[in-house]
Amino acid sequence: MNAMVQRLSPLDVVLEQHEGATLTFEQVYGSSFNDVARWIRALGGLPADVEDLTQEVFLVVRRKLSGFDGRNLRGWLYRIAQRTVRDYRRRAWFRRVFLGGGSTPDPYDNATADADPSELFERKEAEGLLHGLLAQMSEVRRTTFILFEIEGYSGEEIAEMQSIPLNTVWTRLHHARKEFTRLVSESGRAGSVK
Amino acid sequence: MKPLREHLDDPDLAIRASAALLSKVQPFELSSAQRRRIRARIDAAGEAPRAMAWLRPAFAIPVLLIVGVAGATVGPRLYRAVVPQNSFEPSPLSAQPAPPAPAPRAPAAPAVAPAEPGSIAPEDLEPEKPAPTPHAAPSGPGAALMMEALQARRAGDTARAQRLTIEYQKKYPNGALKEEALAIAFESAAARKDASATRLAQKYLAAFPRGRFRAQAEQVLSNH
Repeated sequence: MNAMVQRLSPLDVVLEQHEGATLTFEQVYGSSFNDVARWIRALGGLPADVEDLTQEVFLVVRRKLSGFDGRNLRGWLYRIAQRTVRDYRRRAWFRRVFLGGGSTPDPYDNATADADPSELFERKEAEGLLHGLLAQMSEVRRTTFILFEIEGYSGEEIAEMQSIPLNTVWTRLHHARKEFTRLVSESGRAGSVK
Repeated sequence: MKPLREHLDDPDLAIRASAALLSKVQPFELSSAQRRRIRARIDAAGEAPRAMAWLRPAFAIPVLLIVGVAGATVGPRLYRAVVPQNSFEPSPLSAQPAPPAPAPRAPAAPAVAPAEPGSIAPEDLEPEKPAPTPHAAPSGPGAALMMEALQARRAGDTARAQRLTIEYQKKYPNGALKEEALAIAFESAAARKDASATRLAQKYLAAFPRGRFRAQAEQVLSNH
């Protein structure tokens, strides 16, 4: 089992405590903030835009929370994030095509300022390569792959947030892994590993 | 299922390389400062934009309608105002200053009254209205031909002018400048005292009984 998903996320705590009860915006924001940011990242939001996108998601959440049926909070939030990122990508495409594209920020730039320079360099290099490989995968496989392999969600959590059967998650993950290893192999990266 | 990053000792080299690559990447996380900033912005956003959201389509639709109607109204006028000066041929006659041509009937200025009976001033050939006939819109090549004919006539080369107008009529039997072509043709023939002037004037009157050059055509008929 994935060590990173052994933890009970704040969202899980809130969901357990408020089973069937009406959630307040404060509870949703406090418990799901990090999850939403990660989903946005996994769905293809660039690091420079994650902050704005997270804000957009929570603005929608606050507006629509009163209409939420209380059944699948994770799935509901994920769908809002998915729609927000989709709109954002459409806008980005429009800007790039009609207004001229600017420089693209580092794709998976999640480095901390206090990291060792050589480690930072190595990580940035790995992130750049990883992004290049992930960009070649289909959106569905890529998202599932990132959520499981990088963001550390369990298959059950992914199934819940994407509102799909667990077996579908495993199937997607299986194909995504196969494709990813093939891409790594083709990139020549395998040769550098002992 | 074990995450791929934990397969660092897998016998498969590609899996091992994939695991090594993934192990270097950390899960994404926003800082607490970013979290506070986002929260502050959400609070600042308030409900005002939501309350006014309905105004967006309500504002956009009338604006689009106004722009559409204005475009449909002004567009053709603008087209008429601009196109004759740039591409439609008769207007350059009046717009551009005529060269000091040694034309026998217009020696000093191109826009003076006809020097002899039956002659037609170039400005008369300018269409009064942009699209007075249901004929095809003036095309570039046809317009260029007529322009050449007019220049030839103004230069005194009436034979060439007549030849060019006849060529125009052959090429563009329903051309927008048919009336002008016929007028130049009979006027050029009359200037050369050519016998065909009468026939051409009659042809003009038959085609355009209420034409703008009716008086000139009748004068040619009365003189010959």
